[in-house]
Amino acid sequence: MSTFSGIEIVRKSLYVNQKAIDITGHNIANANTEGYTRQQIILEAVGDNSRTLFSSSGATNIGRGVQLAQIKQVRDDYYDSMYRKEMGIQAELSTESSGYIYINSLMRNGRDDSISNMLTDLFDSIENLAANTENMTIREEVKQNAILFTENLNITADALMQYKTELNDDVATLAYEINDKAYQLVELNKLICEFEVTGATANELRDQRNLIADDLSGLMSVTVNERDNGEFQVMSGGYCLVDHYTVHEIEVKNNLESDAVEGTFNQLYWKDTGTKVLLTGGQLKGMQDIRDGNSQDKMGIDYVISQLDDLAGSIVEQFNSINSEGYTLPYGSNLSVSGADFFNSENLKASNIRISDALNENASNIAASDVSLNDSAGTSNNRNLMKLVALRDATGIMYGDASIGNLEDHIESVFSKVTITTGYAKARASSQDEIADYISSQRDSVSGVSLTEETINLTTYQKSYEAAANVMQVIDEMLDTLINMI
Amino acid sequence: MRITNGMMARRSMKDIETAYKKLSDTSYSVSTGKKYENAYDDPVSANSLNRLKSDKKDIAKYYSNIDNATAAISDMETAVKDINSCMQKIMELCTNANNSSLSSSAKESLSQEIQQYKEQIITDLNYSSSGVYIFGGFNTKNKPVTADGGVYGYNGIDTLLMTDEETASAMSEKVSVNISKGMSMDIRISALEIMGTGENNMLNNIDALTNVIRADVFNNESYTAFNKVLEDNYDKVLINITKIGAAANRIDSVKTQLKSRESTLNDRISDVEDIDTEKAILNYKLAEQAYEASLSASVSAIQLSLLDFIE
Repeated sequence: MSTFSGIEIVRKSLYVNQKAIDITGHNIANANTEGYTRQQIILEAVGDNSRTLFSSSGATNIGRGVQLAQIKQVRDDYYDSMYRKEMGIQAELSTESSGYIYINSLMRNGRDDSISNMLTDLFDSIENLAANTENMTIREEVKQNAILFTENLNITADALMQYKTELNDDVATLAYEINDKAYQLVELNKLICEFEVTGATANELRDQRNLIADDLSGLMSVTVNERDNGEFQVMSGGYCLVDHYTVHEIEVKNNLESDAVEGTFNQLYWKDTGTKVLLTGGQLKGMQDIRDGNSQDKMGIDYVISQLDDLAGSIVEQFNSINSEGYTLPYGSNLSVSGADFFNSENLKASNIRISDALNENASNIAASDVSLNDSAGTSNNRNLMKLVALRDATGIMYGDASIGNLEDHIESVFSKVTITTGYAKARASSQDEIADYISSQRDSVSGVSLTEETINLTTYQKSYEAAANVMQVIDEMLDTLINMI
Repeated sequence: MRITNGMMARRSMKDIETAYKKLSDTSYSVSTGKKYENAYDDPVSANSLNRLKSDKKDIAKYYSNIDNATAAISDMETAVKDINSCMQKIMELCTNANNSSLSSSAKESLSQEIQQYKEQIITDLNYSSSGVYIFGGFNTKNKPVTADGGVYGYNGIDTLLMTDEETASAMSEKVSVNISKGMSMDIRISALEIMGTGENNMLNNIDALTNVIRADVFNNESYTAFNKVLEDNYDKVLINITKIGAAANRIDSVKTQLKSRESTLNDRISDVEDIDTEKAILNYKLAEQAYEASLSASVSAIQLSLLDFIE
């Protein structure tokens, strides 16, 4: 062992501690950088491997100082995959929850101008008319209430349809965003592989890649694998979105003949295989569910609109069948006739329900009488109108195959279903928030920067550096002594 | 477990948000008096609330019917009571006429007086309230009772010539309204029910009476006969007054019942929907404290680091 080997040890020590301080500085600098993973310096002792049996120091080996083994990212793949899974669910649930809340506000649930209150007003004015069938003011009031009711249904159905269209656009936008992110991942894969050929670790690039994978997991549920050979894969619903250097794009299709029901809305397909993208989570799934949900268990805009359509249809059917049995009030040159509609019977949808042209022309066309009034002065005959009054309490009403029951109860039940679903979605979203938050904290606990820790490290490395410098001074003095002996 | 600055910051942010949300909720409760803002915040309460409110609507819908019925009944009462007093006067005059010492001019003035009361009865039978004739069954536009010489028509049909079918059909023209669930009430009485039908109708009887008095052939015998038919007519009027009175009572009792059910429902709605003010204010104060505490705790927790203690 040479006389100057101590200087080499000190050199290494100074170098390593300086590096360590740099890394600490880097960590501190990125304490608030999104997606940053803290880096840790791994040191190792350098041994004396010369195997000289009889060295100047005898049979003992003295180490040769320290060296920098690795600059390592501290992360736990388990938490990463958990995080992505929970984020996928969280994004789905919170999208659904806010979707339902929006549907609630579109339906003006529980407000004074809600559809059910409008129907109540209509029936109230009809009851009022029953006592005064010849009163044109009250007839006009019935007509106006009928118009308000239909307009209210129109507006609600239109607004829901509008929301559906917006969601439909968003679905396409998100699909393009997913493709875009997939291409970004491929670019990063290339960069990382090129960089890591040298044996170094591309920490910052990996951070970027993880961040994009995190974003992706919020859009659609994905699983991310990195193979031992460094190949990076993103899978979703059994299909490969990113296969290291290859992107398998998602394609947005609409106007599909093969898919008549949903055909006019954007559907997602894997471009290469032409199979439909199966979503299991993420914002995209939430949006599709709200857009397409058409049953009570999977409630979405389609379900609400179909319920409103049933309501509109059954009301038109019932009102018209009663009104056309009775006789209208003669007015001007118009005689008292039977067969007049109350509501327009074409295109029975909530979005275009309106009062009949006859009623629109004159409120006398509410057929209150059960006999023709042409030869009779009995204008306050309300026998037919009493059937409309009775309709209010009628139960067991059917519309096609749909069982409506009582009209007012039906509206209430549609609204309460929406309310319950919303409440449930909100509760689920908020408990999922807790889970996602917990996982996020766990991950942060491993990978996040703690300033206190970095300060302690800084002090430690600084002291080490000072100590190494002191050793240098001692060696220097030692050599000085040695040289001055001569 | 390592606690990092990011965790600490997010934790603090979340705690502050939670406390702030609570503050906003409780302040909503205090300022509006309602437990929650949106139905979906508490679906269970919202649903029972919907049920209660629809029960309440069920009750409220009868109020306007009851108002209609009350108005109709009070109109009928006014008219029929007036007819009642006219009939009393006519019967008094009938008694007065049974006096052989009366001069013919006195008899003439008596008959004229009787005729005037008859006119008054016709006016009462044609009583109209805001343009609606109330004793004409379904006919409310034209005067139901017409007088043409000694011929009295009801809705254009001569009462003396009315067939049984026509009478039955006219009597069945009742306008009814629902005053409570499954409970309806007729709010029209036909003039025929008051004045009687066929030959025995009140108006023809009165005319016959005046004719006899004018012809100066009124005697004890005819007095007894006329007194009897007029009594019959008068009884009909009384029966109708009783009917109307009974209807008014029924309406009152139904209304009282609905009112009490409504107030019970209001109490229950208030139980579900409204807050207990003291409790709400207390909750608000607690939320305020929690918010302040979370702010100050977060500030001191985030600000401090080891760096502050290294010299």
